[in-house]
Amino acid sequence: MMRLSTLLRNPADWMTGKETDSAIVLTSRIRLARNLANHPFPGWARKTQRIEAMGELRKAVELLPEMKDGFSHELSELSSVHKQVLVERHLISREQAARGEGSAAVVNRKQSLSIMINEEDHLRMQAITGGLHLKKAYKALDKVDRELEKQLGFAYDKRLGFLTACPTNLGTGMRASAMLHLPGLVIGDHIKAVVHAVNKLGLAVRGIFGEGTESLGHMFQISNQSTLGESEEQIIERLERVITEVRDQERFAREKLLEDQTNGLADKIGRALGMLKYAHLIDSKEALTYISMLRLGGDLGFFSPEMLSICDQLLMDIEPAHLQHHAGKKLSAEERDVIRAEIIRDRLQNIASPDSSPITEINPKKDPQDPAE
Amino acid sequence: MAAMQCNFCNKEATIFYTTIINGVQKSMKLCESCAEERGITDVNELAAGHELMGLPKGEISLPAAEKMAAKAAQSVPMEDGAECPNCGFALEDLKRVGRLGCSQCYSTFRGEIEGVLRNMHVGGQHHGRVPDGLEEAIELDEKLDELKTAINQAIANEDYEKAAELRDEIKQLEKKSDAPVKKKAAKKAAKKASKKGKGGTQK
Repeated sequence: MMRLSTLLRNPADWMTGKETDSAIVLTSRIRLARNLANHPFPGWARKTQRIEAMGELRKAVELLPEMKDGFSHELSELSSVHKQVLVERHLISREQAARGEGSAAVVNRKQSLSIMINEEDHLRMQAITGGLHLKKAYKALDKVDRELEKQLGFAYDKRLGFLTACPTNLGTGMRASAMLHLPGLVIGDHIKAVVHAVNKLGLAVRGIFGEGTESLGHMFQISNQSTLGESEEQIIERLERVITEVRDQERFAREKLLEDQTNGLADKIGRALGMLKYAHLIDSKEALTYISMLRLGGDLGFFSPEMLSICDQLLMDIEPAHLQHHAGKKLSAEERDVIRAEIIRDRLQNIASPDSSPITEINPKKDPQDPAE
Repeated sequence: MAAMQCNFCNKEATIFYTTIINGVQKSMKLCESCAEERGITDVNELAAGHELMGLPKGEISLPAAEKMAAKAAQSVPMEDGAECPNCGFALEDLKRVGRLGCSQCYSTFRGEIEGVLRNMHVGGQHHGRVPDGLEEAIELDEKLDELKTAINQAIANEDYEKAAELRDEIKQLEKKSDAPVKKKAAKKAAKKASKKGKGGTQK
């Protein structure tokens, strides 16, 4: 079994931007909800029933070949900081972290698959990859799903499909999503139109916005809303088509910015680097804003391409629970800002001022036209 | 410009969280520390803010859940015994819990639930993956439905010869349709037995 400390020391490649095509689409994620037919759903079950169901589920999940040498813990065995770190790494959900006895998390060694036992549903299984690879993620998860189904038998209805605790997940029980970095569309002021268009197609867009239209960290998540009435393939194909379109728009917006506002862009990116390199107190909002600019700079050739991975690693490491885990104690908001600034300064100390004559020809290999595997 | 206040404390709001789902926009204002504490600034877990806005984690919008409970409450003449026989869940509980009690609740409250699915999903009929072994059974069912329509048609047309033919065909299929279900149940029971101890062959 994989120890918690080993898991924490070795973040997965998809968490740290080590995959080559994650400049715009950072990650792709598929989640499936499944339930046992003859047990009450976790939220309605009594504690003894939950523990009994967990026993049955955990045994089957741990025996999956995919979970060999993986991580498996009951939530009640983990400290609250450790649970939060797992949340910040997207291995468990916030809802799962709030649970104690009778819930468990099992993660494969590569941390590309994680299975939550007794979250909202008996099983919440997820597969994550870097870049835009929803089909690949689905394929990996489908295999696990079928194997578990053989052993456990899931609640299923001819008309309603897989039965879930919440009717919003009925049918496929599948939520497919991708995380996108869209500074080009935000700076170019096209984001509203894009969000509107994506919405019209029945997909959900989530983002953090600062004052006005300026968004925080320029990060957006696109996912399917409906889970019933379409097949998994139809949902994934539509999502992948839309995300590819958004990605191409972002690519176009970045190139346009580079062409029309070279100096303005170099200035924004250079100032962002300056702030981050010399700040001693930085809150997460400010940090996110500047890191986003460095990430854009890394993609457009203002820095070496490793900048993307440095940024993605930073985005994870400066989150509150990660800071606390790093410091080994509970931190006040100001202490967090101090340590956050320290970590950022340390990671960026050797980064030179952006090259003001970036390569105008962007390497096309970064974003392959066809996301299909 | 007047400072805007955080929705959770008295400090100045600097972070604005917005979701737009099916054209419905919802926003909230937060100060830096409330946002951080609530995981809003976790850029990769944007759903956190979603929960805060009262949208349950299942990504259902609250109005849908409320609508469902309300509609269910008025459409069923709720007697005291309107509970799921398997788990004791009542539709009333849906308002509080936002979720159902067990998979059988879907049979118990089928009418009420199917009525509101239209607002949540693109269709009311599952078109996704079918559990292994059920595919045949489902095809058989569909074929049976077809034949039953045909037999009614034949009777209406007074084509009794054809109706007799169809009746025999239906009988044949019904035998088959019962068989796999029983076999599957038996298989499952055997598996359970072999899991618990020894015994039960799997075939």
